[in-house]
Formats: sequence, C-alpha cells, structure tokens
Amino acid sequence: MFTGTFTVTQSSNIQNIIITDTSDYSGEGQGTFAGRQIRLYKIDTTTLVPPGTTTMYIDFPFSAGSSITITGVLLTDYSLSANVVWLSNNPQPGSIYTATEVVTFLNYINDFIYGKVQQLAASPSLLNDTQWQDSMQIMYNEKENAEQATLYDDQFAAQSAINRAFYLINNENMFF
Amino acid sequence: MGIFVPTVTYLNYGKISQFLAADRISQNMLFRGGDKAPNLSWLIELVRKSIEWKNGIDSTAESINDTSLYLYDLCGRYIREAKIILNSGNTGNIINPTTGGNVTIATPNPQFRVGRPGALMNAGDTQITFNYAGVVNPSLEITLDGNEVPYGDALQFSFTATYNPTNVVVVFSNPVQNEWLFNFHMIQLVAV
Repeated sequence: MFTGTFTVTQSSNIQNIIITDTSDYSGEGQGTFAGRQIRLYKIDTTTLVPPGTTTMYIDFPFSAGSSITITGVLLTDYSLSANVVWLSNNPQPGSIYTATEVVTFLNYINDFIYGKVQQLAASPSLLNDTQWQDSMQIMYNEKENAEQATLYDDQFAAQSAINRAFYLINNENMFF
Repeated sequence: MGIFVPTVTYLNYGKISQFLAADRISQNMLFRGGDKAPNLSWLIELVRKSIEWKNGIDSTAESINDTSLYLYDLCGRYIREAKIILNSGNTGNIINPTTGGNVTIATPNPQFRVGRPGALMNAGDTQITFNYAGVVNPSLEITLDGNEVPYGDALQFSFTATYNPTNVVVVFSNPVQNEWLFNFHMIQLVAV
C-alpha cells in the first residue's frame, strides 16, 4: 500500500520553491516507480514551470533524493494548486499515486509591506497621512485574506486577494 | 554601549502588547466613547508580523534592528506589563498539595536480589522500610523477578504499604526467599 504525500516550502531566495516528498516507501519501494512529476497549477489551469522548461510539468526524478528546489519559478506571488504524481510501474489496488495541495506564496507582498514598515520606522509621521494608513490596512487585509483562503483550500479566493494587493503595489503612487 | 536585545524578544513584546492595546481600546470605546489611538493594536500586529517575516527569511538584515526598535516604541506604555507577563510565564512550579510548598519530583527505584551482598532484605524477612520522606500515596509498585506484585491479595504473594511522612513501610504476605529479584518504584515529592 502506498499513499503519496509531499510538502511545499519557500527557500530564502523568494523565487524558489522546495518540494519534499514525504511518502512512506516501505510498502512499495522506489524501484517500483518510473518517476515523479510536479505540476503547479495557476487558477487559469495553466501550469507554472521554470524558464526553459518545455513540458507542462517539472520532472522530480528519484535520483534527486527526497527534495527538489525549483529555481526561478516565482517571479511574483501566486496561489497555486501543487500536484505531484508518482508514476508506478506496478499500480496496486488501494494505493494513491497523486496528491494535491493549495499553496500560497506571499513574499513579494510581504516584502512590499516590510518596505513600508521601514519607511514608517524612519518617518513615524506617515501615520498622519490617512490615505497611507488606509492603503496599508487594505494591503494587510488582503494578505491576511490570501492566508485565510489558503487554509480553506480556496485557491481562487487567495489569488483574488493577491491580485487586489498587487493593484495597490502596481499603483503605489496613487495609494501611498 | 547598549544592551543587545534579540529580535525574538521584541517580537514577544509585540505579541503581548497588541492584545493589551486591543483590550484598552475596547475599554475606552465602551466607557469613554473613543480612543486616541484606535489603530494601535492593528499597527503593532502589522509591524510585528512584518518583522517576523523578514527575520524568518533573512535574520541578518540590518534593517531589522531599526524596525524592531520602532516596534518597541509602538508598544510604549504596554512594555512594562508585557515584560511581566513574558517573564512570569517562562517556568512553572510543582506544588505539594498537602503542604502548599514548592517541590521537585524524584523517582526512587531501589533494586536488589535477596541474600546477595548489599541486598536490603534477607531470606525470611517480611518487612522493609524505605526512609524516603514525602512518598506519594499510593505510588509504590513492586516487581518480583519482573512480574508485578499485587497489593493486598490474600490468595497469593502480595504486599501492603504504609505511607508515613518520613518513610514507607512495606509488609509482604509471606517471607521472601534467597535470589528473589525485587524492584521498587515510587514517586517522591522533595521539598525545595
């Protein structure tokens, strides 16, 4: 019996994602698999792949070990549906060879907010600007919305919150 | 030269202060109809979480020092209370319910084979006294050659125990014999 499981984390380089295969191979050894494939679905069902990748998926060979770092894939914040497929040469009844998880990356929004906190630390009187403060509240709320939506596996709501936050980031001069 | 304060300490002050501020804001809204800084709780949380994020991805960033000091500044009047709360929650005390005094827990575990040098009992004995004060009643368990000895069973080899303030007296139903391996377990509250 095999049940595929994995975790997703972000490395200190905010463009990179680390996928870790946490499956238990005691029931079906790694030799019974032809390989592993990772798909990072955006809300429009297209997949996110590193630059130069010609397939819709990211190959995760067993020779890579239990973890793989996907580099240069996050050029902005996303809420993604991460899917890993284990390609079994000898599928067994009851085993599960695919796993999916909604993961949201907010480092660009967090970086923007931290930049604003730095400005505030240097110039506390910014709080007297009510528009500045209102915009910060909106930014912060949208970040929280994206986190909360992810807890409920609601990728669309999370991505919508990200998009609303990026409207403020992309029009910074209007809002801050 | 200033005193080094770890970033995590500032973050802890922030975590506590944001709730203290929220509490004060709620009280002022209820009893005074308004508060001079109604957004303070939110602002402390925003700054605290933002520093937390930065510290998580790059704890060596020089800007963390400035933003942490700003967080400390925001916590302002709540810092003193936050420090008290933070320090009082670090360790707990174990209280002896009988005396109300602080204690630590010990687990004496004497073991011997009857008749061998150093054994605490000789063949034919039926009683042994352990001079341990504050043994929890009932906590004594005895094994004989690896098997648990029952308490107060008239139908087989068993024991009874009397828990006194300064000792525990164990009486076996039958005399012990050479080569029997006894192992005693008990919980003791030791006053500190």
